[in-house]
Amino acid sequence: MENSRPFSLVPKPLATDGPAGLECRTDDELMLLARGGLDAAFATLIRRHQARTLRMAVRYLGRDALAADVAQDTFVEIFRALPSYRAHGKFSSYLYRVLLNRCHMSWRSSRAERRALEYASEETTDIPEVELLLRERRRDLRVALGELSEKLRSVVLLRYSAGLSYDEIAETLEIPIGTVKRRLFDAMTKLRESLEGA
Amino acid sequence: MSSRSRSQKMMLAAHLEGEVTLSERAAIEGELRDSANARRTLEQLRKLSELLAAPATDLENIDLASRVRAKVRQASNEQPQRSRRVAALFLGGLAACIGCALFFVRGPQEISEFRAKGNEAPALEGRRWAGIQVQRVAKNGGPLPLGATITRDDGLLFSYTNLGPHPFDYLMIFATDASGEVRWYYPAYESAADNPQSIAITPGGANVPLGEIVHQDTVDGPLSLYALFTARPLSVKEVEAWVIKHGPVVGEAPVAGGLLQRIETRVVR
Repeated sequence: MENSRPFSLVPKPLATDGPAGLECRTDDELMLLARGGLDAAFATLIRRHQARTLRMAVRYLGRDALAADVAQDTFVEIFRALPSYRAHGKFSSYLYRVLLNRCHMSWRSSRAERRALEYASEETTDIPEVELLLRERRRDLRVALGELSEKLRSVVLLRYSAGLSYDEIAETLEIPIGTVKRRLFDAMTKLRESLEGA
Repeated sequence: MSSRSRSQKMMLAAHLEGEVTLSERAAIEGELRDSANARRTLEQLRKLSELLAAPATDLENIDLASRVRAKVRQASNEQPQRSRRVAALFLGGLAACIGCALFFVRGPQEISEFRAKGNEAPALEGRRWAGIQVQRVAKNGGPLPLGATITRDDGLLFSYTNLGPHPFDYLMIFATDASGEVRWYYPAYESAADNPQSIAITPGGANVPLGEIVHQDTVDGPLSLYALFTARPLSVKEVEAWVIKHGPVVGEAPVAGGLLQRIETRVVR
């Protein structure tokens, strides 16, 4: 048997599945590759979505450390659910649905700390004026976002911080597009009024 | 806010989003020309959307993938211990019930037979706790569960589970195809002059991926995939000699206390 063994028995990864190749894969393909045990595929998926995921979490929760934990737990939950993932071309909706649920839970459980944080004064010595103004605007925005209902906050953050289209928001929240438009408008109006009054 | 004013502002918001028809755009642009108030509202909406979309610079550069990987590892290290404890309690209870039932139904003289069957426990236990999972990866496609057939071009992805009170330390994965050849997936076997050994595996892991998609030049026809879990490393030549002796379709592990798992599929064009 040994003499007749062909010499093409070397395990070879697909040429397209190098780090650069994985970048070209769709979200669904990366999920399926990750399910098959390709660790690098899931890492690629995280890198692809991490900026928007973290941005949305930090706008929602107002705190960097909490946002990082929530984003991390979101991807851990998705990793654990790999065996049951169905590839429908709707990974973004799935990702943001999980993220929003985690943000809601975290938001509710950190109410007391949040109140203290919203009104806490920051150390402002030796900071240029432009930076101070920017910080103030961010703080006002955080407070204004905190005053929105969860429904309005979700829509406005999915649209602007996560960059989802109306269709994707409708799919994520399982509501009609007309409702997305209305909530988005209401949220923007309330934010504008809050910031004008700030 | 009157309904007309609300509708106008909604249109402004939609205009900012680029979500208006050509005729709506013309109407909005007319309004923006005529109304300073409309221009001010649009400018406010634009600034607000920019603020919402601004990157969270410090945060967005963290290595989230590493954090997720560490958390998953930490959780998977904790979980088997928990499951093992629960399983041990469950199996202990079950064994006690069976023991009591046999004692009362068949009498104490049957205990020796019960013990004799119990000697097969390591193999049965191994089957319950260890095994491989196989997925096929078609050219330009994602992984799919291994079905009744694969094509010659398909690669295979493997992961293993190695739990239980006595997990294994080594694993080999190979196949025999219709030509009778032994095809090696793990360990890699590059040259007839080599004699590589089983790969070391992690005790207590579930669905641990072996991160390569492996392609083999198998011939059309039945393909038997084998996973050989053992407590000591075996060499490729030892196993091939044993396959030759026992024929291409084997059912038992070549070493005592080992576990041989066989998965059947068929290679088609």
